[in-house]
Amino acid sequence: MLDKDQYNQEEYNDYYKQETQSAEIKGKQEESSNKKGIFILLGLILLSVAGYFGYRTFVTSKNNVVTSNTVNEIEKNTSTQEEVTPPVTLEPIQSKKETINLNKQSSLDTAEVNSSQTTIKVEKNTTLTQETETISNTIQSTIEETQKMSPDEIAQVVQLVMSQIKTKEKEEETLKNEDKNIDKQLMSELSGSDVEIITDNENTSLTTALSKVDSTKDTKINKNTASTNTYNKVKIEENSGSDQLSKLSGQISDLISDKKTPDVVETVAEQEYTQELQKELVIRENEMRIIIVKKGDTLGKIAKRAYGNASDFKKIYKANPDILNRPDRIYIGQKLRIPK
Amino acid sequence: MKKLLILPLFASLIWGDSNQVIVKISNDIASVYTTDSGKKIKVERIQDTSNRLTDDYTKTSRPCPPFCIQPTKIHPEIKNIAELEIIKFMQDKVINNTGVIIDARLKSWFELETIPSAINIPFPVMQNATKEKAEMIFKILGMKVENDGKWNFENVKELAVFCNGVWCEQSAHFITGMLKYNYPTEKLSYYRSGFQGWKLLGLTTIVHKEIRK
Repeated sequence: MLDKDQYNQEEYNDYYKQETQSAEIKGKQEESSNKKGIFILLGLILLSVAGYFGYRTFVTSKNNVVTSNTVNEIEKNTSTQEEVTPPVTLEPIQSKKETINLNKQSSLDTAEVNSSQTTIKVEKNTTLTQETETISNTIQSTIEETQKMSPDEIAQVVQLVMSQIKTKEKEEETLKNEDKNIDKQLMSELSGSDVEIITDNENTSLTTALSKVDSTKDTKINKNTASTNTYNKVKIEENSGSDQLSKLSGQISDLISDKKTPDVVETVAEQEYTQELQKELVIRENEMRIIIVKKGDTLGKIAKRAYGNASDFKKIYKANPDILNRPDRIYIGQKLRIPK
Repeated sequence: MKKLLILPLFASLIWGDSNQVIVKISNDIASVYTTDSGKKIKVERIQDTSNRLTDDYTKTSRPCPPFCIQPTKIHPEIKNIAELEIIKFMQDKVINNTGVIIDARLKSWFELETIPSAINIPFPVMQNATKEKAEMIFKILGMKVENDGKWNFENVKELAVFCNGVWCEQSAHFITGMLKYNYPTEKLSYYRSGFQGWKLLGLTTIVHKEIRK
């Protein structure tokens, strides 16, 4: 039989033992959960870094694909301009099917009605699928490798990645500074004058500098590119087609110019209306006056030619807000509107 | 877990892809192709979202008369159409040579700038056409003359007629001339917003004659 004190002592010892054990277990659990937390945190950092680089790689490669395809499309268009084409060309049914099938493979709902972009779409989606696979593989391998690493090794990897990011940022900053320096150089050369002379070399270096700057986030069309058709106008000199629509247009045109067939004499009201339209036409022609910038041209020189006074360059600058960012920046080949 | 992490990546990729055409014609159509003067033309909208009409077709006030706001309907039986119908007309009618877009303005206006695939029949041509001339024009548009001399309009082309816009009555004069010689009303459509409406949306235009300084 146990007496009261002995019983209490044993009970206390049991209680103390249990408490100690549970505290130890709890401590171990806390320790392991802390380790787990750090591990997850490091894993997330690595994932975000991998994602960041993956996305950047994808964007760069996508831009390349688009550029090459745009060139192909331009070439395609140029070649088709000389061909006899039906009045309206729509997407071929076969190629449309291909697009939809490929879209299914890449699990992306990107079906489009647009005809001409069929080829581009197909290539883009193929690239997209490959890119996605590469990125997911990278992430998976990173996770697997991380699980094998010790905390010190992980910390080293993170440091390495962070230093790489910083190097990239520095490179980008250097490029931006180069562009700024070019601007400054140009401005200093032109100081004291309201006009500037853009040479071919300057134009090329500017274009090169601009092409280096990452503009993927900019949705605006680059205004400094001379070839950009800002106003979405297509110039057609004459009707050279042999398709039905061109023939019809030609027949109508011949008939109108044929003066052998007499017309009903216009009434006074009709004549007046036509005269008023002719007056409006003069205003319209003035709206449409353009000049193509040549080598050695400046806004001042253009203004002198158009208005007889170089200081009227502001008129031209104000009339072309979509093309001109600054009055001292014009480029060879640009079509500038010259208001009356 | 892995799927959850990859999901945002996919989202960013898809977002990047949809950025290619910012300003579409409609939800489903980014651009269409047509021809003009035998050349292939891509009809799309200006992609620069900061672009504005400047000087070009921005004039608001002209003397009225004669440049008054036109009534919605030119004729009760002639249907009015807008930009999407014109684009559909290019795809459905012009491609099959069953329809023609008619620029009813004076030739000089047409030459300055017009809608792709439009052909020019200046309104005075129809307004002042004799029966003989109207017959010649209608024949080009697919009319047949029966043995008894009757005009058969069964296979004539559908016409989508436009001029400068709501302030312009050149389309009205053209259509009146067509109706005078019984061109079927169901074969005529009126694009009331006209060229100004087309320009306002930044759609592709054709320039036949540049005014160079």
